[in-house]
Amino acid sequence: MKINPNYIAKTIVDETVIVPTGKAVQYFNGLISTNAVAGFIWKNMEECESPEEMVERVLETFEVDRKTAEADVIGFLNTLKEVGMIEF
Amino acid sequence: MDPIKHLNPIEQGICNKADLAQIPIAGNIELLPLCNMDCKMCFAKMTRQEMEAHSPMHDYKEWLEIAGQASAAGSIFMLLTGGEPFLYPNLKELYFGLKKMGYIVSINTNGTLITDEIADWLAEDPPRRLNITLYGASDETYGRLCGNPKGFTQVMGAVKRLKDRDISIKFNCSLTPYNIHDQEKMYQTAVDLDIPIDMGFYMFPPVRTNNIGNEKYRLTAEDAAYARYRAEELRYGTEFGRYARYSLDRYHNYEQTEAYQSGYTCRSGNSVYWINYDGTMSACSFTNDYQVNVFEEGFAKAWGMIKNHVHESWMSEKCHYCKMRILCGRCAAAAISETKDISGVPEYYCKLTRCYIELLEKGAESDED
Repeated sequence: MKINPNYIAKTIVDETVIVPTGKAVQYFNGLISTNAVAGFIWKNMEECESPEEMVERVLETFEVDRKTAEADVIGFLNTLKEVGMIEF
Repeated sequence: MDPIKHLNPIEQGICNKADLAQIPIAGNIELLPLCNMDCKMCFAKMTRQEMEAHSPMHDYKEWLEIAGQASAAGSIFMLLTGGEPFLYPNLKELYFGLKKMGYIVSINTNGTLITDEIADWLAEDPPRRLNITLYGASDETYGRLCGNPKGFTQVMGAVKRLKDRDISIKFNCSLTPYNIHDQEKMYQTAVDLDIPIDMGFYMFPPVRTNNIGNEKYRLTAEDAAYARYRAEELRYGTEFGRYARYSLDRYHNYEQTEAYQSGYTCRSGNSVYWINYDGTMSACSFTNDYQVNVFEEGFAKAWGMIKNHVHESWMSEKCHYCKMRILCGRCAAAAISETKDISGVPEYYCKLTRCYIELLEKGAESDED
């Protein structure tokens, strides 16, 4: 999966934030805050080839059942894809 | 000076965390002391000769190196200021370099030099906000205060160019005896253009050698209090009476419940830093009691020294327990610039706040009538 280079991730006080730049600023000119799971997903995005692989990584790292992880992770990735923040 | 005003609640939360952890989340870089205008009360301006004698400007690659170090230390908000930043060579390259690092960039400007070409490149990757200092509501006022008799027309041209490109603008207004007569017109200009305006009634006495004494061009404490009162009347309109009574209730009911302790009472030196064009870092542009050269020490060490100094500084105990504190804007910079002592009591501010409270009392009374 590929991150749109107009979105830059930074770690601020143990929290991953995403800063839109370039054309992305036309849609949102500010900080995007993430929770622990979303930050983990963003950091691992380009190492995963598919949403299914991301689900496996989330299952390895967080205490969550497969059904919930699949629904939440794939839903989240689809939302990011719809708004143009990632490609897969 | 706080480069992170007007945050959304999520950003506010992150900045509050940065404050507690003393992470330098926001910086101001004063790129140069040169300006195309000559405002009587300026705290920063140098002539080119004065600048060259003191220190040359640093080029944009040097600033990007520092910005990279700052980013690694947790910086995310950057305010570029001056002097006039649009006179800085390679501002465009610096701006886009900061953007590539993931900085949220704002720029302070007098707004008189923004051409179509500049507006075009800003629109490619817009700043969070362009803060335009508004010095009057006519070319005559700009001529009298800033030595630029075309200034207002130039600013209005820039505003149109920026608005046409959907670039966010805010007006900051420095009220002085030379433009106070335009206060309402400046406010109305902002309303008509649908641009937020912050009317600065208080002016720090300049602390730099070239600008010391320029406080003679500021309002008296009484006039500054009235300027504050009038700015709030304009802002709150028909709701002003209620606002005045609310402010007075806060004042009458205020009791200090926190222990007197060391440190500054604002973000400066806690999560915000200032770097002058010569590379000296301080907590704020007016806290010149302790400065560290960021090019000599590197960002991380310089920030560590600044935050330790701030942590060990004691502001006035009298101010800490003062009842007027709830309505007073005094800060470390006011203490140092007014008294040359971080623990000093800035009497000008005391007088200003006392007069302001009297005005509120009168305003609230007449509103009840």
